[in-house]
Amino acid sequence: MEEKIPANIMHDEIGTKKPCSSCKWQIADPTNPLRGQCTVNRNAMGGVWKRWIGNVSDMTCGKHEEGKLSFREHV
Amino acid sequence: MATVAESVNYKGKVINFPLANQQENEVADDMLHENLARPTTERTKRLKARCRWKHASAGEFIDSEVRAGIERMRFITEAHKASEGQPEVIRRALGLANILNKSTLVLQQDEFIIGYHAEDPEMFPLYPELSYMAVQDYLMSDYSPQPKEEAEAINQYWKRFSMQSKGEGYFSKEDLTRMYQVSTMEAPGFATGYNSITPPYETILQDGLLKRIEMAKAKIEHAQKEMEKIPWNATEGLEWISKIDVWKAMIIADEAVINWAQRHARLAKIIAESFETDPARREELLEIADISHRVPAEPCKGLKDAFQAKWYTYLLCHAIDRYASGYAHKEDELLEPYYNISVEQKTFQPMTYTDVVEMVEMERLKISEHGAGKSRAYREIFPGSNDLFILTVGGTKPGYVDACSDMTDAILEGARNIRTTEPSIVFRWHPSGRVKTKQHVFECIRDGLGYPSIKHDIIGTEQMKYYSQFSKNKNGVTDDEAHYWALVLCMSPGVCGRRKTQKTRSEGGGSIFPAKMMEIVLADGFDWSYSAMQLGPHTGEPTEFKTFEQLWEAFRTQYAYAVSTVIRAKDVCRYFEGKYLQMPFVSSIDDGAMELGRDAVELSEQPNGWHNPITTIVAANSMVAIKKLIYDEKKYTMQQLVTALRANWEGHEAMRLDFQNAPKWGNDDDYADSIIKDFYEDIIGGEMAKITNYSGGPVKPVGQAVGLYMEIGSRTGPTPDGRFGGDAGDDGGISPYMGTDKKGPTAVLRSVAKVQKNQKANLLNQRLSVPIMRSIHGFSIWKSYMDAWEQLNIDHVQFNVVSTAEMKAAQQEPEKHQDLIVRVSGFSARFVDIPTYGQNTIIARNEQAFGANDLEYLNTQL
Amino acid sequence: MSTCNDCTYFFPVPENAGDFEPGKGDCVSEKEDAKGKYWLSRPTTNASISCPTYNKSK
Repeated sequence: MEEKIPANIMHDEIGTKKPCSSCKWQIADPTNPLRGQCTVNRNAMGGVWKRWIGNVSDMTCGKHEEGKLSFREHV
Repeated sequence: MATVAESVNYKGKVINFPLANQQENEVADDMLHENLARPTTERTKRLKARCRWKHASAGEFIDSEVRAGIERMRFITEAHKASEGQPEVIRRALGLANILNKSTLVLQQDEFIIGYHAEDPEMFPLYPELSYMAVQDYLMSDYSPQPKEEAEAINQYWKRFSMQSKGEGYFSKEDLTRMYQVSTMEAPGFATGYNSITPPYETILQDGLLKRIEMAKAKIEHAQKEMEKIPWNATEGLEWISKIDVWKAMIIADEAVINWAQRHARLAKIIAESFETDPARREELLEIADISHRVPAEPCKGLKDAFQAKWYTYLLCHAIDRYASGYAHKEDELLEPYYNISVEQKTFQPMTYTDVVEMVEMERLKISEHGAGKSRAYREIFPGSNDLFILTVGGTKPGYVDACSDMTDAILEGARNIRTTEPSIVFRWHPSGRVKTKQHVFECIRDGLGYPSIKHDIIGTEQMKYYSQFSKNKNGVTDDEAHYWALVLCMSPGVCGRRKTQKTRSEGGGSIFPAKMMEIVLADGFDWSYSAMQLGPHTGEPTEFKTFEQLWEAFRTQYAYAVSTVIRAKDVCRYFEGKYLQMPFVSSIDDGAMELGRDAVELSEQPNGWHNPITTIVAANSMVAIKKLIYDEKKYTMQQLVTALRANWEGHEAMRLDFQNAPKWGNDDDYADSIIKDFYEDIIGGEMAKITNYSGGPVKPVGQAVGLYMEIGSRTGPTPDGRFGGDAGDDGGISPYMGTDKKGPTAVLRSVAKVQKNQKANLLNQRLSVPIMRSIHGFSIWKSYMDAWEQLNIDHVQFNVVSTAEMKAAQQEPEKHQDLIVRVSGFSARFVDIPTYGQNTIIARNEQAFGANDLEYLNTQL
Repeated sequence: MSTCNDCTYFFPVPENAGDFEPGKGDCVSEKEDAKGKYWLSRPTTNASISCPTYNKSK
C-alpha cells in the first residue's frame, strides 16, 4: 500500500526560493541536521502534528513563512 | 486563600482536611510552589539565585548564554593525531590525559564542591569521536563551538573514525533512515552519542587512585614474568599483550586524573592567596585546596572528601572521558561511612547534620549547572531539565535489612529545601524502611518536586539475582550484592559497587514506540502521516484482517522487527566501543577490569538487558477499542476505521467518540485489562525476552516515557483509541492515558497490578490532590496508598502534586513561576521551561482525590 | 616583547607537582558576569607571549 503524502502539505521543488530550511515552521530532524520536521499542522486540541522533511533545501509549501519558532511553540 | 479538600464520610466519621501548616491558608493556590523553597544557608540561597541552569526544551537551550565549548574536542583530536600507531586503548588514555592536562579549570564564587567539564561555566563539551551528525547539528545551531572553522575541521577529521561511521556500515540505508526518524524506533547510540553508565565510585572513595596505579603496575610486572617463562607457550603468553596495554592505559589515565585534581587544588590556593579578600572564604579555599590535593589520589577520610572525589569521578565518567547521562549511584550507602566519621564520630572533617544538608544542596546545584553536549533528540525529550540525573536512596541491605540512615534523611531534606529540578531521586520502598525516612520522602513529594519516585525494593533485588544467572564469565552478582542497586537512568535497576556495574548503554536504554507501530500496522507498515515511507515490514492490508488475532499478529511482526533492529544497533555499537572507545579510567576503578586486564567497556560480568517501549498504552487501548467495536460488536468495519483515521476523524466524530469511550486502561475494567495484560506480557515483554544481547542475557521491557510521549505523539497520526493525529502519547510506561483513569487512584493500582510477567520495570505516573496531600491526613493517606502499592507487587510509582490553577497561572506569567516544578515522566522539570504542548499534557492528567471507597480499600487509619 | 613570566596572573607550577615541567605555570584570571564571579586556570609557560589580559608584575 505505497502511498504519497498529501501534496497540499509539502512537495519537492528543486531550487525553490522558499525552502523549508528558512521557514519558521521548520525545526531540525532529531538525528540528521540535513533533514527536518514541519510543525505547521496543529490539530483541534492544539497538538503539533509534525511532518518529516526529507530535504530541507528543496521542499516547500504554501504556508512558508520566514522566521524561527520559540521552543514554547513546538515540541 | 488556599483550597481545602472537601470532607469525606469514612467509617462512620466525617473526616475534615485542614492544612497541616495553617499559615498556608493565606497562600494562593496559584503561587504555592513559589513559597516552598527554604535553602539551609545564605550560601546555598546565593548559589541557587545565580545558578547557571542549562535547561533544554524542544531541542533548544532556554538560556541564551549557554553554548558549546571547543577545548575538549580540540585536545582529544590533538592527542588522536599524535598517537597514531599506538594501541587503541593507549590512544584513549592519552586522549583523556591531554584533555585533563590542557583544559581550562573553573572555580566559582561560593562553591565548596569544585570542578567543571568545560572552559567556561556557561559551556559544555562536544564529542566528535561519537556522532558526526550530532556535532554537525551544533555547528548549524546558535550554540556552535568557536572558532567554528576549527570545530568543522575537527568534525570532518573524526567523521571516518567516529562510532557513527563504524556502526552505520552494518545496517541497510533503509533501516538507518527508519531509526534516525525516531518514530517507531529510537536512533542508535552510534548516531546520537547518547549513553549511560554506573561508575564504580566505591573503589575511588575507598582505595584512591594511587592504590589503583600500584595494582596496575603489579599486574604488569606479573604479566611480564609470565611472558618470560621458559619454555615459551604462545597460547597463554600472547594473551598478556592486550592485558598489559589495558593496565598501562589505566596508569596513564589515573596519573592524569590525579594531576588534574591537584591543578584544582593549586587554583583554590592561588585564589585564596592572591584574589580572595574575605578571611573566612580564604580559609575555606585553603581547605578546598587540601581536599583536592589528597583526593581522588588517596582514599577519602571524611565526608567532604567523599563529596569531592565523587564529583570528580562523575565529571570524568559522564562528561570528560565520554558523555553519559544519569547519576546512578546508591548515594546514601556510598556516603554513610564518611557521614559516620564526620558527623557521628567527628574524627575527620567534623560536621553537623545541618552542614551535611548544606553539602547536599550544594551538590544538587552543581548538577543543576551541568550542561550536556547531547544530540538534538535528547535536547527534545527531557524538556525543562538539563539532562537525566537520578540518584537512588533507601532500600535494603542483605537479608532485607533496612538500609535507610541519617545520610538518607540529609539527602532528602536537602532536596526538599533547595528545590531544584535535578538531580531526581529514587527511593527504594520496603516494609522494613524506617517511617522517619518515609516521612522525608513524603515531604518532597507533597511539596511537588515529583521525586523521589518509588521503586519496589524486592522486585529490583530479585531482578538482579535473575540476571546474574546469565553472566558470561559466571561472575554475576551474589545474592548479597543483589541488594546494592540503583537506577541506571529513570527506571531500570542496575548493580552498584566495585565491579559488575553497567559501563555503556548497550546493556540498557533506548526506545521503541508502540503507538506509531499501531498506526503503521493499519497501513501495511507504511507511514502515511509523518514520513511517507515504508517504516516497517509489510504486515498485510488491515481491511482484510478477518479476525482480531490477525491484527494482533501483524502488530507482533512490526514490534519484533523494531525491537530486534534497535537492540542489534546497541550491540553493534558496543562491539565498536570495545575496540575504539575504551575507557581506561573507568577500567582502573573497576575491580573486574583490573583483575582481568580487560577494558571495562568490553567486559560484561552482570547482564542487565532492557529496552524502553514508550506509548504502549495508546497501542493497547487501540487494540481494546478495535476488538470491542469491530470484532466483538461488529459496529464498525476495519475499512470504516481506516477511512476515519486517514481523515483524522474529520466527518466521523460520532465514530471517534465510540472509540474514545471504549474501555480504557486504569479503571480496573476486566475487558480492557485482560487484553492489555496480554499485550504487555505476550508481545511487549514476550517478544523482547526472546532476544539475547551482548551480555548473554535476555532483554526485558522498561516502559518509561520521558518526554518522548510528546515527540512520538507529534509524529503519530490518529489512533483507534480516539486520539487525534499529533496528540501526545501516554505519559508513563504503564500509566493510564491522560484523563482516562476515571475510577480513582486505587482502580489504577488494581489495573496495573495485573501485569506481572516478562517485565523489567514500568513507570506509573499519578497526580495527587494538592489539598489532600497538604492536609493533616496527607502522610497517613499516602503511606497507606504506598503500602497497598507494595503489597500489589507494582514496580514503580511517581507523583505530581501540583494544582491546575498554578500551572495555568504559570502559562500566563512564566517569569513569576520559576520555582514551579512538575514531574514529566522519569524526571522533573521547571514547568515554564516546557513547551506549551507538553505543559498541556501535564494539566490534562487526572488529579486523583481519595474518596471513601479508596480509603476503605487502603484501610487508611484516620 | 612581554611574556607570561612578567604577568601577575602567572603562577609557576611547584617542583613537587605531578605536572611540573620547567617554566610551566598556571594562568589564573578572575571573571565576572551577570551570574557572578569565577576564576579560570589555564596551563601556560613562562616564555609564552603575553595575551590581552596581561598585567605586568610590579
